[in-house]
Amino acid sequence: MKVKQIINSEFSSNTYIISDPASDWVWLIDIGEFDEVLNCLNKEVLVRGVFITHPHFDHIYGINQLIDNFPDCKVYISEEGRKALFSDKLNLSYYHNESIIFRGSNVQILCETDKIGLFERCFLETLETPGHNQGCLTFKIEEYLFTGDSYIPNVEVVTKLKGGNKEASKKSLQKISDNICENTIICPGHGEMRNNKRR
Amino acid sequence: MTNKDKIRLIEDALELGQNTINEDTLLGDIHGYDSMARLTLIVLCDDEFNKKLTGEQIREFKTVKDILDFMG
Repeated sequence: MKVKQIINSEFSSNTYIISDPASDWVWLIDIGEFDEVLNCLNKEVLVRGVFITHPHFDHIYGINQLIDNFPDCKVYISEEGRKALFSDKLNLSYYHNESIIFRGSNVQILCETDKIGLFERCFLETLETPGHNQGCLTFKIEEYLFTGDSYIPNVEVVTKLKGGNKEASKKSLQKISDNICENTIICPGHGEMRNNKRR
Repeated sequence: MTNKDKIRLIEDALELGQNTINEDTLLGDIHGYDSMARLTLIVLCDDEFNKKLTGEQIREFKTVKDILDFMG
């Protein structure tokens, strides 16, 4: 399995492309700059699904373009997150440059411990990590941990935005910490990927 | 709503302690006053005062008083 990081223009959020050399499809973690994603894909490759760490506009703003280009692409998100996909006030895009309201319907809700098969013998596991936002999820794929904005190394979790909760964030940080081991590679929602060995 | 009430709202929104800012406080001197904090204040103005503040407007604000004046 390979992970490619794309740094988006809005708030320097990250999109990750998850691929496997033996498969003609990829998965995404969050979707910002869709054109950048497209530039990284071979023409015959399909985007099967996107896993949304949390529904803030800087992590979803390419979602309509994604669905326009890959109509069968599934959107995996928390229940709280699903509501924000369809509300520009909840995803905060209303207060930014451009309103983002999801035009698709292919949404699958993820809860704690839900497992999704990505490739042969490769699974994604779900952790609910509310705090930065009520609908925050963290995803574990092999040694990679995609923490969104629930945990950004060396950055205090932002809980002051709508739907944020400091107490919930503390519990989520503990849960994330419990899931970090020696070989974990942390892939946050902003900033560099971090190999835990180099801590 | 008095300016004191509005300042309290700002302190709550930005997770600051009580009485840590006043009308003359420079926004740049507020701990953690970054793009996320500005977005938080934009949401506050919309939710509490039904006033739409743009990113460009808020970047021009220098002091807490500029926000209070916008809140009206």
